[in-house]
Amino acid sequence: MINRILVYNLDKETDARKKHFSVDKDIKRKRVINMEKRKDEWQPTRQAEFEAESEEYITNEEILENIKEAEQSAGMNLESFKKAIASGEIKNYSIVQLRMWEKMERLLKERKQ
Amino acid sequence: MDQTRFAYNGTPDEYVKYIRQVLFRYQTHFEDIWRAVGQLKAQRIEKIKWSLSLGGYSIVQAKKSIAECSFPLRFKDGSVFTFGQTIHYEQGICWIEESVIRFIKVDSSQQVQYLFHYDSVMDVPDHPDHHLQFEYDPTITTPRFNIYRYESIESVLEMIVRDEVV
Repeated sequence: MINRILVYNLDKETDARKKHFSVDKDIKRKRVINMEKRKDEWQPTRQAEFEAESEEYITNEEILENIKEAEQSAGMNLESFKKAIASGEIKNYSIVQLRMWEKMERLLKERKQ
Repeated sequence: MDQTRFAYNGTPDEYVKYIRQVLFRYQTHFEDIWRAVGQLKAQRIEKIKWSLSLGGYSIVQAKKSIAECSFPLRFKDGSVFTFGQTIHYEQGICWIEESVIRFIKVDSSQQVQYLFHYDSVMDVPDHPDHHLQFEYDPTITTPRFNIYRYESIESVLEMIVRDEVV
């Protein structure tokens, strides 16, 4: 099971590094084209992959449930929560959690439209 | 500093199964693992985006009571473990895009003593990439954490158990 976990380190290239490992622009371009090609050619082969393709989308009830979970625990709605952050009343919060909450509110708005 | 991308070689459903296995590995430390895994939500929010959450939308602050909140996954001392992740699924691989893993330590009266979370944010001003953020009373012993690098659900659980804080 451990073998399935992949960690990719994307080094920010320093100038010295770039100089040392400089790659010909054409080769780089070809690599990108090959990657794109592979992306287009990829097809699901396993049962689990076919199932993932046809998995159903989140329902309106589930969106509302997620929003309710955030609102109840924070004791306020998203707008008030953002105001509390801006005023410094709430200092320690997770940006990811805030984004997830915003995403749910956005999805709800889109569905209503 | 290195930027790390974490990926699981499989479908979102298979990733959820793997997370369940990780949680079951620590089942002796949890109060009611069966109830918790039943509430693990994996929802497809876009064509190639999934949201994974176990109490991940719940927001709490230190020194507040959580008696009124319902958290699915609790350690035997009442402390809480939650996580929320966004998965980008493409070509059979789950890329963990955004991730927040929280540990909330509570006292006997359900008051939050301290909490910490691993956020996978990147390129946010005044915010280190892949950081650990914590809020605690300095007199209390807390787990030793790795800072400024990505941590998985598995490694955070390992740290909590290793430092015997639950």
